[in-house]
Amino acid sequence: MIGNDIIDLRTAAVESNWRRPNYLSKIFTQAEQALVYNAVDPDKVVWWLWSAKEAVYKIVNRQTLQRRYAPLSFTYERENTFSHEGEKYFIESDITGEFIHTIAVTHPDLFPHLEVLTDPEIAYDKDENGLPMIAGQPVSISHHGRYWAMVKQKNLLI
Amino acid sequence: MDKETLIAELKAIVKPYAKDEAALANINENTDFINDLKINSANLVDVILDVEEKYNIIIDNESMEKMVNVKAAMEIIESKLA
Repeated sequence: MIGNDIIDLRTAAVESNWRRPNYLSKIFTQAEQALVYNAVDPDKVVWWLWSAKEAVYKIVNRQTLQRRYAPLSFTYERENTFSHEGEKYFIESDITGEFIHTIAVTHPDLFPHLEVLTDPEIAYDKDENGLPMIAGQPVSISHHGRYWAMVKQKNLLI
Repeated sequence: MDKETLIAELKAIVKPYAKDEAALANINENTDFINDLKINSANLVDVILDVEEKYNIIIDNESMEKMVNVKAAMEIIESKLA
């Protein structure tokens, strides 16, 4: 399973004030908040953590078909590993000055088989739950601000 | 508090974060914050904090999980104020 989340850092800076009182404690554990407050660039750490939680959420949502707004249940374990209800998820992030793009998978062996497409005109299907598919296989789509990304397995024909 | 008043108050709270003007104009019990109003998931935290401040209530994690639509928000506010 694949999930991905892209964050336009300029849009995030305009739309969100994570320094607002009580904001971080609603979404981040104590350990995650410590990562933010000890960081050289706390904005980047906030949005990196958030992109990872969102990417993992997309996998869990697809597996359970349940909508739950529970960011504290997706937790940082170590640099490339997050967990949710005892299950481990593996992430890779592309972090630039303009955006953060995080891909989450259920098995790290999947990473070499994935590709990122950035053309929002790509044709795709939707399954019975409205989730994106290509050639009968699930793909993951994310967009925010100026950015759009689809993550899919390389062998799928489009 | 009657339902109309509560929906009007919620409308004022979500207005700064809602990206779909038409859905905001037609806000009702069945309106979904993310799918209909196109509020981004990071701003849903702001909605929750604004609700806490306006009604002087604490929205715990269990309630927060359900805060994805107007109906759930109304039920949570009503139960905390009861």
